[in-house]
Amino acid sequence: MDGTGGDLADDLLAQYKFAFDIHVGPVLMVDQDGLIVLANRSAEELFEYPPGGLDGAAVEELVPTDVRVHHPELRQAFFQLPHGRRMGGQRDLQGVSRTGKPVRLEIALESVPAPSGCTWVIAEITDLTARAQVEGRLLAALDAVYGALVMVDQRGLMTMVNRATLAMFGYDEQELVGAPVELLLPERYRLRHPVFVRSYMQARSRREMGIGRQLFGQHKDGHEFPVFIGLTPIETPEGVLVMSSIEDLTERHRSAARIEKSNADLQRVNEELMQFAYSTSHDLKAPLTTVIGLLRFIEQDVLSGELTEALENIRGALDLTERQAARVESVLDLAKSDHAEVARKSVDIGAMIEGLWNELTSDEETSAILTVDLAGAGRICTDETRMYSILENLISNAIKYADHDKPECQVRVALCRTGDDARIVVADNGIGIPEDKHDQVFKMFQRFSDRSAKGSGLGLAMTRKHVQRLGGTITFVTSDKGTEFTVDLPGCCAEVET
Amino acid sequence: MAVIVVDDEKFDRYLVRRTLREVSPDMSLIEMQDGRQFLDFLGTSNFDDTREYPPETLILLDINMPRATGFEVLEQLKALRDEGHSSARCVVVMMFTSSENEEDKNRAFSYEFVKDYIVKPIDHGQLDRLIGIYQPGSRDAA
Repeated sequence: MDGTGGDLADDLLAQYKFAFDIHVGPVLMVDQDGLIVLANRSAEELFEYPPGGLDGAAVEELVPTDVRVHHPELRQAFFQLPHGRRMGGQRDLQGVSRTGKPVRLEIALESVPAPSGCTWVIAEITDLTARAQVEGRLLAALDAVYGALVMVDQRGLMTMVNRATLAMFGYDEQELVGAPVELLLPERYRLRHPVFVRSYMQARSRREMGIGRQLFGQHKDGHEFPVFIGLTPIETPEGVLVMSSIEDLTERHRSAARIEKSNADLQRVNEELMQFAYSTSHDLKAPLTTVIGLLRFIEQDVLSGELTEALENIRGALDLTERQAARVESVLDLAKSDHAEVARKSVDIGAMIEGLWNELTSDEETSAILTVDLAGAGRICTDETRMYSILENLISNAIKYADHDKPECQVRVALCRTGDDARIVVADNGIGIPEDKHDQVFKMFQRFSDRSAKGSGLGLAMTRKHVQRLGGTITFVTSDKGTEFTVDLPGCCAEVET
Repeated sequence: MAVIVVDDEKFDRYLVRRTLREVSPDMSLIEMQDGRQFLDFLGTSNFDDTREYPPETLILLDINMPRATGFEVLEQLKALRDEGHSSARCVVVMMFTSSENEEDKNRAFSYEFVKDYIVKPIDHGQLDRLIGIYQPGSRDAA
């Protein structure tokens, strides 16, 4: 019986061996004790065993050590209820080679009758290494994409997210995979979103999401950011998946805002320039037309020998052209003052005021009285040329617009400091600035008295430009009792020793 | 008929004075230094009193002036005319400026009593023509 049984077993085994040898993929046969009865060459190669090396070995040797202890139990359970099935459910399995290398695989199990009423189990193995490599490369490629990629299944759950998604939304991969895609939306959109997902699953076209609307994503920390989302349906045997490609628009919006702002700036500068060109051409032209008129009469008078009137008109023309030359000079100064660098150094304001006063009152019959109040702070750190121009304009205006109905012309210049900031006040008891002219004070070519008064009409426009270039502000208060200009210059006392 | 020139540039006033002297020596000329002086003058004069002023008064009005500009004068004149101020109703205004700016021109002509726009310097022919047009009896030319 034994001998016959042994022959039978040998015959059966020989038949299986023949079948195994012509089978291309790896295949094993295991008995109820978990010992390998038969393995083909392909299986030996997969697990790095020499020919015949697996025969009689425990199948647990091919199981990774961390799950090896549970395997006999699972194996016995199968033997009790043997039916052909895939091992491990939907999970990918892992084996281990003789040298300890992990082997990704899929196993199909089938029980077959063995001699003596026993059962053998044939395990047909699919080597997933190559597939895992392709998948690995694919995932690496998805991770290399700058935008976030989120794969969503028909239930609206995230099945795959790339690395950019994690960075953009601030989550870990485990927090996202398997979670509803609504997790990435601001709360106010979460309720309605599943409806959109369902309707998209019906339509399945490659398109932009939320056309015409600004979409928002929500970071794990709660902050929202504008996004662009492109949707692409992917047909798979498991059903339709949707690949969403998400782009964070924060930076794009920021740079659009920057461009818009610089456009507005350019437009403003351009308008200023147009205004400048208009005022300049008009104001430079006006005296020329007068000179032309005078010259016509001069010619007429010279021809007819009326030399007295001709001489008078020549003097008039000279006066006009001289005034004009000075104005052209100021226009150029004003244009240049926009571009010249600010060169700060310690400047003695007291000495500057004194020098200016002497110059401005030297050839006048002015009986103006100057009061200087430096409150012990004679020096500030500023651009000397600009500061000179500011003080010159303000003090000369104070003298120029004196009120001759008052007994004396008084000019007061004060410098005071608050922390690192300096304040300069130039006050007079002059005629004041008419109320309806207040908004024109700092515009170009404005004069509030007779045209023959000295001055280009550019003084305060230039003064304000200088103050602005120094990072300061200029304001004034005025009434029929006089005018007071206040120049605030921040940070110009910092490096000055007192 | 009289001519009033409102201009802050004394040489421009001289040019009008001298041209008028050569074109129409008997015509009286009143000189105003700026818009404010003119408006004050208008407020205290009776232009409709033909014993004091000839029936039509021709005003040469500069635009760019301190205190009150030409446009401020026009606005004030319009208000006075709307109130029925008799002097204001008798004036005919010629703008008298070196600005050839279209905007200025259109703005000036938006006032019905502005009849001409003279670009400086004025010459004999122009002044002669203006006086001819606005002399009593030839008002239809306006």
